[in-house]
Amino acid sequence: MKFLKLSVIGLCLLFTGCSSETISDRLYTQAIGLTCNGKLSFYTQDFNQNLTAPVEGISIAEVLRQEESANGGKVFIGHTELLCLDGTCTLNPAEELLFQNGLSPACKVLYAKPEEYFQTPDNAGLIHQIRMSEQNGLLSTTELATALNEWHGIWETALLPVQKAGQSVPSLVLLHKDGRCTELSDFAVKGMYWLRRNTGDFKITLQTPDGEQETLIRSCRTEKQIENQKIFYHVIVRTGTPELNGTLQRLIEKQCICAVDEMLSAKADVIGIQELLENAGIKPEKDMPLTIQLSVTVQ
Amino acid sequence: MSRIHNHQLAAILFLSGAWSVICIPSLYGNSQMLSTAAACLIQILLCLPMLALYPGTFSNQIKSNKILGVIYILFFLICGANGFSQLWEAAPPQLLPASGKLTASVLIALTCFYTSSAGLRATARAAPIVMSLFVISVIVLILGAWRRVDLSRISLQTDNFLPGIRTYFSLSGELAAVWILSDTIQNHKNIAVNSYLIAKALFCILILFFSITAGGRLIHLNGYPFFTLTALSQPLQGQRADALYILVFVMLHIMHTTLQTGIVEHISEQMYPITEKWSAPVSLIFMLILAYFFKSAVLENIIFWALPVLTVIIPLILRTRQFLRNIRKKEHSYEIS
Repeated sequence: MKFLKLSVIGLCLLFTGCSSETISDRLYTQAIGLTCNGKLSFYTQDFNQNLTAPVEGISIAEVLRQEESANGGKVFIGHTELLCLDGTCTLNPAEELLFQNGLSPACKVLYAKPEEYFQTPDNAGLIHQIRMSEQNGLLSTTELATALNEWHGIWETALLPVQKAGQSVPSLVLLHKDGRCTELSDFAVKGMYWLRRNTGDFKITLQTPDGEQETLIRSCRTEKQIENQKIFYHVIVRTGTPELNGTLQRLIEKQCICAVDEMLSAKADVIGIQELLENAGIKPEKDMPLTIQLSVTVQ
Repeated sequence: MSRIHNHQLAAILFLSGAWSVICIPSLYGNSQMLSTAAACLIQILLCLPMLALYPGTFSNQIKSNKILGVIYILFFLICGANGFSQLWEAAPPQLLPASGKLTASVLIALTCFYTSSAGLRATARAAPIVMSLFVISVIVLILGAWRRVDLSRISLQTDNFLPGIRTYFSLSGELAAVWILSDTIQNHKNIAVNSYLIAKALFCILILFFSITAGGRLIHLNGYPFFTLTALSQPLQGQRADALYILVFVMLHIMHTTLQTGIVEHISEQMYPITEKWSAPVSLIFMLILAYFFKSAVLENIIFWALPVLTVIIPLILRTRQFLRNIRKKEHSYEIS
């Protein structure tokens, strides 16, 4: 009897995927785009690189229903790798997509006009480019969860990757709640890498009097503290070539200063200033003057 | 009722408590971790002397005092109803894929009817198996949340310390079950109860820690820190972990409701043996009705105020009465002699 019961349970477990719904009845999106020109426009592309005609609606739930009707199948956005947004929509609908519709928190959020990007999108290529740039220390890691966290901070800005025309490596922009967008310079983009959460283990090419030389970044971390209303950021980098440490230190310092200057002039916080102030018992305010002192140690 | 092992008692109480922990409605701040530890300590300090005072005769008191039995039955019905109410209010759509929350509740109630029909001992035997599944899911949750952890989000705060304690107490309804189940285990009752209390507090602190450090500001937006954490904790890029969370979510709710139903069944059987067959379905229907009419905040409020009465005051009064009666008996016997 026990064996019979166990066999029935075992057989039932084998049929957990059986239902009237087949895989072709679902649209598994690889990339989705949103714009809000009066109405919400929703763009999708599946993993076979098939584009669907954009649908319109007044809410996320409605556009998803419209998309399902247009495609004749349920839309599953749980595996989406790229969310394309512009200044009209900002990150406001992303929260609903994450918590109500199961959008992946690790999804990349690209700043671009969906109507232009979804003309000839190369999602797989772009996602790969962003990931490799992040691994190689060219781009700070950005994803939906971190962008939303920054977005809900007091300065209401998020750091998002952008594909600039004529550039092979993606860049970064600061998206503001009012839809404005501040493009970061190449130096600031690299500075952001050192100042935000980072890992290391990549090579960097340095210009020295003896020509171009490579050094391995073994690890890098940022220590933050606050003293007498002054904020201190200390970047500590471990390398594999000690003779190049001086050159690297000067370069990182320049890049970090550039990143902080551009971020502060855009009235943004994407390096955890708010948490630092709150932990020190200071209530952060949008217009408060901020002084950040940077130092870099290369070991 | 047959005997329940120590580890089974600890597992069943913990799983029932874990359901309440995953349904914590909001996060007050970093101090909530401290509140949880303090609340756990208070519960241990309250329970230990009472367990020492009652060496397994509490059910006999209920047998002889039917009003007391009814009070405990009502309390466990409220605890069960709170479980359904939490299910309706907390469950995000991706963790409750059944069509409609009421349908899901009825399906769960049917499952609970089946599981409670086998008796509390069978449920207790199943508890360690569910526990292993639960541990696997928690490991997956931690692995997924680990890379988002930012320790700078943690700070030492003491504001909102008391609301944190209150929340934890209002989510500890299963603590009253200790008294009813205490006479079903032979020895080392204290070990079982302490293990359950410490494990529950540690699980709660773990959830709060990852909610704060990995969720950041997003935790405050969505409410229900655990469900926000499950949305953020997806350890694999090509595979979502939702199925595992659904499994644990439903299993914990079934364990929670089965425990409450089983205890109601146990008490009513002791009071009126005739109720053996229909007490489980009636109590499940009653729980669903209560949950339909009352929000979890109301039910949690009742649990918060009733819990100290049922776990400390009533047992203390009964024990004192018993003690005085024994003294009087002794005096009487001296007088006769």
